[in-house]
Formats: sequence, C-alpha cells, structure tokens
Amino acid sequence: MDADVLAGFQQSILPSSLMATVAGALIGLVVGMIPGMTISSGIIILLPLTFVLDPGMSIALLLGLYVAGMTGGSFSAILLNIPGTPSASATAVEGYLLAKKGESGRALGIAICASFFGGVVSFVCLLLIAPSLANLALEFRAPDLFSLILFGLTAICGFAARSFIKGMLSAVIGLAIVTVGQDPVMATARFTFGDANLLGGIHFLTALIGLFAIPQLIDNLRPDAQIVSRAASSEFGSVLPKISDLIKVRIPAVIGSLTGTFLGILPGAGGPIAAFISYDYAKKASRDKKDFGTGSIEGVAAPESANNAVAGGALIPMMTLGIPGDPVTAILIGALLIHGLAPGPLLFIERADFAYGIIFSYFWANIFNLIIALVAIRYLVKVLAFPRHLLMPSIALLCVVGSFALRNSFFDVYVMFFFGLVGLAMRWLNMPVVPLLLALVLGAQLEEHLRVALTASHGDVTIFFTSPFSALFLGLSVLSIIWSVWLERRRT
Amino acid sequence: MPMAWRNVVAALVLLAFSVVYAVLASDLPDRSIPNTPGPSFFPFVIVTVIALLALALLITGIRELSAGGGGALEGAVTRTGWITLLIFLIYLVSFPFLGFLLASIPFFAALMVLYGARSPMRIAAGSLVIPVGLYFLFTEAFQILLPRGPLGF
Repeated sequence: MDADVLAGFQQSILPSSLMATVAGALIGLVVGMIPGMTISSGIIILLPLTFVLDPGMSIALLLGLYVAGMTGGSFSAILLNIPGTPSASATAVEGYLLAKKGESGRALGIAICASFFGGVVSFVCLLLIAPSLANLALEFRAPDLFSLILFGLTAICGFAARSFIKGMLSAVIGLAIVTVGQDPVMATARFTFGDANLLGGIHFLTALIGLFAIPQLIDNLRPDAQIVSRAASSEFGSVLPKISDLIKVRIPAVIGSLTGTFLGILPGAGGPIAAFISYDYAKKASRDKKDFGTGSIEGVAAPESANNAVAGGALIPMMTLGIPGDPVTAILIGALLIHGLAPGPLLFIERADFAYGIIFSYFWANIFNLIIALVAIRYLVKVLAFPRHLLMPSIALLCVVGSFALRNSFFDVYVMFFFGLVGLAMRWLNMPVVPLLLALVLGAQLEEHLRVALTASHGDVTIFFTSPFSALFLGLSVLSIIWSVWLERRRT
Repeated sequence: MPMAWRNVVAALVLLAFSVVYAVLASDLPDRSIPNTPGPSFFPFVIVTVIALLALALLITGIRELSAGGGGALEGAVTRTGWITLLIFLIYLVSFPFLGFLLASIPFFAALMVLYGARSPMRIAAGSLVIPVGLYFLFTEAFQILLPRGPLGF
C-alpha cells in the first residue's frame, strides 16, 4: 500500500497534472463566481477536453474546477449579495454585510482561507477513510450492493426534494430511462423499437448536460439575470487575513469542515445544506453571537469551510463505492468510465496508484485554489463584467460539442436536447433533477445486483435481510424515507 | 397555473406512461431460469412504483385543489425561452447537414440577439469569432472530430 501511496503522490505532482489542476482551479474560480453558472456548467464545458486528455490530467482538471468553484461562489456572494453557486448562499448572509461596512477584502480573505482549511480537513478524512472503506466494500455481495444503492437513492430523495413524492418520482423515472437499451444481466434489448441508437442506452453524461445546461440557458434569458457588475469596478482592501481574524474563526472553520465532510459523504446532502447547518452551529458556538446578522467573519468562515469540505466528503463514496454524492461527482464517475476506470472498491485493488493519485490531486487542487484566489482575485472579479450575450451562446455550443463528441453521434445531441426539455418540465413541477441523474448513474448496477441476488437465492427475497450489511442499508433506507416524510410534514 | 393543477396534470401523464410502459414491458422476451428474474422483472417493479407514486401525487393535487389550489405560479419558460428552444431545435436539425460551422454561426448570432446584444458589428464579430475559434480549438488542438458540412468544414 505504501508503494501505491507514493506512486499516487508522484502521479499527482507530474507537471502535466499540476498544470491541469491550476487550469481547473482558474476556470473553477471564474465559473463559480458568475451567478447563473454552476460548477456543473463549468464541468460540462470542460467535458470534451477530458475525452482527449489522459485520465490523470482529466481528473486533476475536474478536481481543480470542483474545489475552486466552491470558493468562487463566495466572491459574488460577498461583493454582490448574489451567490455564485448555491453552496455560497449562506456566505452571502454575513459576507455581504461585511462588504457594506467596507470590509469586503477581509470577508473575501476569510472565505478563501476557510475554504482551504475545509478542503484540507476533508482531504485528510479522504486519505484515512477511503482505503478502509474500500476494503470493507470488498466484502459486499450483490444483496449488500443493491441495498446500498437503494439507500443512496432514498437518501438523495430526502435531501434534494421538498416533496418526497416528487423526489422519489424523479429517481424512479431515472430508473425507467435506464431500462432502455440492453439489460445488464442477459443483454436483451429493451424498449429500443428496433433502433440501433437506443441499443446502447441513454448515456448519463448526455442526459446530465441537457438536464442542467438547457434550463440554465433558459433561466439566463430572464431580465433579472442580466446583472450589472458593480463588483468589477469595486475596490477592496487587502485580502490577506490578519492573524487575529484567523484565530477568531478557528472554531467555526473546524465546525464547518467536519460538518461538510460528513454531509458530503451522504448522497444528495450537498454544499447548501452543509453551509447552512454549519452557519447555524457556528452561531450557537460563538462567543460573539451579537455579531451575527451585522457582519460576522465567523459567519463567513463556517459555511465556506463546510462547502469546500463537502467536495472531499463526496469523493469518499464516489471512489470507494462508485456512488456519486452530487452531479459533480457523477460527472467525475463519467470521466473515469470514459477512460475505462470504474470507481469502486476494485479501483483501490487494481489501480491503487491511480486512486491515490486522485486523492493527492484533490489536495493540490486546494493548494492552488488558495494561492490563485489570494493572488488573482482582484483581476478575476472583472470576469463578472463578461457579457452574458457572449457567454451563454458559447455554453450552448459547448453543450452540443460535448454531447456529440462523447460517441460521435448526432443521436446523443438530440437526447441532450430532449433531456433539456425534461429538465424544464421538472422545473415546472418543482421536481428535483439530482435524483433522476443519480438513478441514471446507478440504475444499471441496481438492477444487476437485484437480479444477481435473486438468481443466487432462487427467487428468495429474504436474502436481502439475512445479510447484515444489506439489512443495515435497507433499515437506513426506511429511516431516510420516514425522515423525509416527517421533514416534509414539518415544513407544511 | 397553480402547483396543484400541475401536480394533477403530471400525475395523469405519469399514469398514462405507466400503462404504456407496462404494455411494452409485457412484450419483452422471458428467457429466465425458473424462479429467477428475467428482463421484464425490473421494468415491472419500476412501473408499479411509478404508478403508486403518480396516484399519490394525483390524490395530493386533488386535495390541494379542493382546499383552494393556491396561487398561479410563474411558468418555467418565458416567451423568449420558447423562441430560444425553437431556434435550438432548428440548429440541431440542420447540424448534420450543414456541419458545425455553417449551422453554428447563425445559431450563435440568433442567441446573441436573444441574450440582449444589439450592435450588428458586435453580433457579426461574436458569431464569427467564437464558433470558428471553437471549431479550430476542438478539431485541431483537441483532435475532436466535428461534423463537416457541404463546404468541407
């Protein structure tokens, strides 16, 4: 194992990998900063690139974007009171108040440093937990894997949706879509209507591009999306934080880091939930509670460390179990699959060096995010003035290129557009998209494990209850359903 | 349209989908060993869950309507949005015949106008520079094949 750790570290410090990380971080800060663009959009833009780069560079690029995107969202949250990413919503609460008091530089500096701290804490957790969890996952058999994926889907329905019924519908519709193509056990053609294009099934990356990018293009047509960037010309003081400020935010940063890492592990929990929970905890734990609501740097540090820690947390189930926690890790799975690498416990057996390479690339992503953000923020915020009438059409073209380049297929482009319409329909219904996306990623495995388990038991369903792991995950699934329904009732 | 009505419409659509899906699933060949699930097993599980959830959504929608239904909500797509989608569709249909560049240039120009560009010079420049730039970036730098049109590019 030590040889693999060293090999992974060496892979991560290759000049090509480091350059890819820097490029990803730069793009991520820009993408994260622009309101109306999400990290997923940024990754969709880079997706065609990952087809031609080697796996190490692809992942380094995407991780750089992922990490920096979370930080970039705080810039517009603080300067404009408009979160660049949903994860930065909690940062806007105190960050903008600090900016109004003329302390935007202070707020930005704390946000950047807290993001770094959260990222490093989650890196340590990733490094320590992932190999052990991967070893444990090797013990899982078909019933356990089925129940684990089922738990992942039910958990995400609870987190992602205000309405549990709609969350579950989103997931189950995704599972229905996955049945198009060849069945994963017997390769029987299903719902293909004799069309060779449908025999290969619906590629989840194509669906993802449509589901996220098309509604975003439509959203950005609204007049209130045409933001006049005040931040481009605003002046702010030094962003290098004072030692006294860093000491003051140490506890909220720890709270945010640990909360974010834990919630990142849970599918669907995501940055926004972690950020607000951390903000709440930090406020309760603070000795200066009166500062909250008037511009508190603790209120900036907690959510920012949380949302960056989520990234590392989400990598844990992605790498060890092949279960993505959010759209970004779903895309990372896609990027790995394109290169013939399947995330899951076997990755730590067959390509442990590469697995550790990913983990260390995540570390470098946090380092470069910190350096670039502190050094270049004054220039980066000018991007907020980039005309939307150039940015959005460019994204539209990149969506088409990305969909086409996947399999050199026009059919995939039409599928992308179709899913764009599906995404709009889901918005109309206030139905979350993330459960559908995760079902597209995990659906084939879910069916395969279910059928393999039932074949092994000759149709006896008690196999799912006699295995301790399976029983545990099924119990957690039931609990997550009950919790989601209770939470929904409490809201109404 | 209030969300309650939207829920009812969606529930009815999903119930209709369930019927069609179930009929198609019943036509799937059954090649399984006895007491083991075949290719139609998972689709039938899925369609059952969809039907039950759609029924729950229908009941929820009807209850909300009986209670007043709530206020009308903004649509997901504005008029400009529908125009954008139509232009996108025309672009995608013409894409295989005209090739990436010839199809993308007018598409880009149209989107620029929809997103607020008004200067003809800016529209012309943007719709030429960016699609051409992207074309060369992907085909030459990244070696990603993009469809060529009747003019060879």
